[in-house]
Amino acid sequence: MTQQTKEQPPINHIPSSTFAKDISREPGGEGIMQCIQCGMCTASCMVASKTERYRPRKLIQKILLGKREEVLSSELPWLCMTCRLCEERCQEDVDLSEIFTAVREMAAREGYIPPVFQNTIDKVLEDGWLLNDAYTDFEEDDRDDLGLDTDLGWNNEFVKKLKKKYFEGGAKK
Amino acid sequence: MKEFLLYTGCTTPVRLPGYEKAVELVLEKLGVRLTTMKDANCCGAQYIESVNHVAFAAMSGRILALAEKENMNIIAICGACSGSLKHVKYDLDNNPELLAEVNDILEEEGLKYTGKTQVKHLLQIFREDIGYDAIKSAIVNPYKGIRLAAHYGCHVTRPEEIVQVDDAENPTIIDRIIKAAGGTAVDYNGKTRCCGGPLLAMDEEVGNAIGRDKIENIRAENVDGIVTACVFCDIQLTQVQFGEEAGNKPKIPVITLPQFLGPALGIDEESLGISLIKINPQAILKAH
Amino acid sequence: MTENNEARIGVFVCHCGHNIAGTVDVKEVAEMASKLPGVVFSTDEMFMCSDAGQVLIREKIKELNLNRVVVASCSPRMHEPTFRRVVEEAGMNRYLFDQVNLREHVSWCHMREPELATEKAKDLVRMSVARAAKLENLPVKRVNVLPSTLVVGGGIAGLRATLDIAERGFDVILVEKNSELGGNVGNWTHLFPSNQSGVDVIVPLIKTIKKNKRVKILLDSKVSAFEGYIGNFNVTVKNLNTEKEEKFEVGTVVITTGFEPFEPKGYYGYGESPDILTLAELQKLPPSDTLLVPSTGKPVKKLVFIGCVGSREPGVKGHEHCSRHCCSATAKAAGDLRDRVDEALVLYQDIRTYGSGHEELHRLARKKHVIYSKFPKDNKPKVTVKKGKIKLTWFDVLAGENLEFEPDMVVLSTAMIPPDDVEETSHLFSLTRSGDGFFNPEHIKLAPLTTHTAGVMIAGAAQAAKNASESVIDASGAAAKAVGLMAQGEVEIESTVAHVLPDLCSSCHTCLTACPYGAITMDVEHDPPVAVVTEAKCHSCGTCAAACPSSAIVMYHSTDDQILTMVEAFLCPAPEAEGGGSA
Repeated sequence: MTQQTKEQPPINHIPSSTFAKDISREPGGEGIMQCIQCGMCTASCMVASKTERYRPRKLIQKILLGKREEVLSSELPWLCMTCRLCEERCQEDVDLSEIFTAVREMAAREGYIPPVFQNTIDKVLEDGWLLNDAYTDFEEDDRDDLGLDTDLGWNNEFVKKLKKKYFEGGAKK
Repeated sequence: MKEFLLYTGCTTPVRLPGYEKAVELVLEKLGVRLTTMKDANCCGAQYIESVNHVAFAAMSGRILALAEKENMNIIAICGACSGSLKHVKYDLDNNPELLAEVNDILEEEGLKYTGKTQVKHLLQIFREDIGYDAIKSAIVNPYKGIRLAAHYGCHVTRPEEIVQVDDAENPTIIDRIIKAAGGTAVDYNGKTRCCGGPLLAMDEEVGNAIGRDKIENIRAENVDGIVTACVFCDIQLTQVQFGEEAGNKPKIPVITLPQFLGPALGIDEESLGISLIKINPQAILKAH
Repeated sequence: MTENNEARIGVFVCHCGHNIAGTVDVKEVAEMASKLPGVVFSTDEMFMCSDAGQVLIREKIKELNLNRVVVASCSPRMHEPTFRRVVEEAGMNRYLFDQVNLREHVSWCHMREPELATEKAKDLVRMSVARAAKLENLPVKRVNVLPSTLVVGGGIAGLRATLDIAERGFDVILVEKNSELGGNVGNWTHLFPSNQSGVDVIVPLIKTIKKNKRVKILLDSKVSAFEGYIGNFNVTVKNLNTEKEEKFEVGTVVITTGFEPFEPKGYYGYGESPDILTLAELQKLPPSDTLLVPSTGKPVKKLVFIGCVGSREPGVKGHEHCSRHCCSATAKAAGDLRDRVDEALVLYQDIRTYGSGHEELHRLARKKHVIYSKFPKDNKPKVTVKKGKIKLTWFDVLAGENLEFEPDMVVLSTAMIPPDDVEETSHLFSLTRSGDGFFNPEHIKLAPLTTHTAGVMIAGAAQAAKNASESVIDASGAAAKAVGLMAQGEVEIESTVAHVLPDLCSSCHTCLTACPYGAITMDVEHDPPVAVVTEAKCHSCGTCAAACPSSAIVMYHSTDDQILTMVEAFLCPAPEAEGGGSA
């Protein structure tokens, strides 16, 4: 989540296809070269309609131009809600949500994860589910009144194995 | 009696237990018996999904394998869970390498996924396993003169080729059930748009702006309530109507589909957890 | 029926379904017409152009001995030939027919004022009836069409046209200014959308043509003089090397002089480095497995294409048009060359890969990781050349990024412009040119391959920027037009032409200069010489008649008498006629 706040003399980026090639090799990123920059996705995106900093088409073009550092360290790929309206509308069948998921995975591998994601991941890998801390007596009582089982029976052993295999030493594979 | 394994997901049991109970009662009434899956884990949606696709496949894969062990199919009642399970199933069914890697991990648990398990979202059960005719004939206490807006949820309906629940650009399952129960299903601007829930983590302001947008589009059609089919959407569309930004506008009741359908089928309101619904839904329920 | 002893006029007013009758009271018009002097029959009918309508005209001509027919209906541009044919079949001279436009000129433009529209309709019919009485027989003339064609320009369009015509049994004289046939396509290694080279496409055509005995090929030659009229052109061809001239007589002409690729001096550093070349120059490089940097001979690692060079520049004369072929040609070249280089970029203003198979080329190029970057039209990329190194800077509109690149080779997709001798060609053949510099067709939609010089066709890039496949389509079309004329052996020419009265002509030459079609010459048999109109070239525009200070020119079918009668009929309606407008 770095922000270019230093005022430097403008350094022009040199286009390179390597980053796009890397993304297209990631599971989910295969379709990135199909994008013809028509803009249907951005026109359909609810996030884009509410905040100017997020433009799916622009983000894809930055990937196609090879702006690796900027994209991987940016919060922008994490702003995709995965609502997939863009995918429904894209005429070239580009699966943007999946591409941005692949970008996020790559970013995570290099150590860029937004704190809120990191915290939630840590929680899930600890408890096996998300809302362990939110399940208090009040909620138990409500369930009891409805005749539902109060023991939710979540398994928290499996996730510990996953943590060991996939998440030790950062979010590395 | 058809039998299914109910996968509740993390959120419903804690935040919307009424929805969970209503699903059980309504489906039972319509000939589908549910057993809640035990010893499950989080499906891995959004968070694990974004950082490691193998770990994600393993998490949802374990749930699929658990169902396969019981020789049963899964019903998901949360959009995110439904989306994750269906997506991972699709990946595992079509990617032998990934399947091998996941089964490797599952082997230690005494589990294996071979592709047999089917995953359905609640809406599919209504359309495919129960059918609109059966629903209509089971209505004993129809609604009268109420206008309702259906909100389907993004992960419930998209991407269409993978989840195959309903037409992604023009979904109709909830609308048809509203109609069968005697209500008027109302169309509104931006019906298939997101509720904004998934963005709350990264940008609460924008996420809520998106949710408020949806509420205002619905409000423009003069409805008595909103009917949902995903726990996350239900919570988001409710909470977004509170707080400073929401102002003093009258709150539109948000109710889950089974909690709406239940009373029309003759099921007692209390047992459906109606009193737990945050925005009083009496405007809907008294219209018989 | 014959001359105009006493006019016996038949008036037929058409409803045209609802088109005319919806606004104009056609019955009233027919009723009024029946009382006009000379009218022996007047009626209204649902569709005059239908079988029923045509039969009605024929029957009434016979039954009532009509010798003039007026049909009040749609525009003569629509059905004048139809009705002329009908009256001719009934034995009447076709020029004794007149058509009144009650549709385009009345009902379609005065839809909200039916009463006034009806009055106008009555006025127009009254004027036409008065004119009809003054119409005269005009002989229907035909001219011979010689069974040979002149094809000017031996590029792909010229070759295709030549072959099409020769294979149908007509002689062709193919004139080419260079020492080889094949034009631009023959020089290029990279065509699209298929993988054939220019040579692959051109050589078989040339071989077949050389074998055909009907074709006479004149290389290193140009047309130096051109006279005559449709079916009978006199052509002089000059050999540029020997200066010898040969004369021919042909019936039709097909102009396929093509284009030349723009050499963009002053654009993007062109001329400052041998490594900055046009797409055409790239195509001309000998085929090889490696793409080499011209200045160093080393393999190209970084390649950039820039689009719209010298095209689409508002306000720059001759460079305002889109050259159509370049986006697709660039996509093909970029896709083909991508495998041999480390990076390939296409800098574009827009992407117009419109044709069959073209969008696929675009997608393929992108799939191969060609980077497409859009620049704004008011801030184009800048090129600097320092010590042999090329540096490119530009702004990518869609990413909002300032970019720079140091390519080994820059390829400019430049405009298609007319060849440098296009002015000469247009004068020789009396052709006009459009804003982009290419030749004007007779009508862009309805007659795209013929010109205002009857008997002269244009085809291929000579008509407008287009790719090779499209040029071939044009060529076959133009050939068909030529063959159509030659196969009939003769062609009718309009008799409604200008005619000089030799006794009144004062030899001032005014009409000669005024005629836009070069149809008037001086007849030196007279002393002093008098002007004479070549009827086959006359388009009956009337400019000569208006210009003549001696009133020595008659416009057949639009004589002063005929026109003035109409004016009188409008201003002074005959007492028996009802409805006289405002008079």
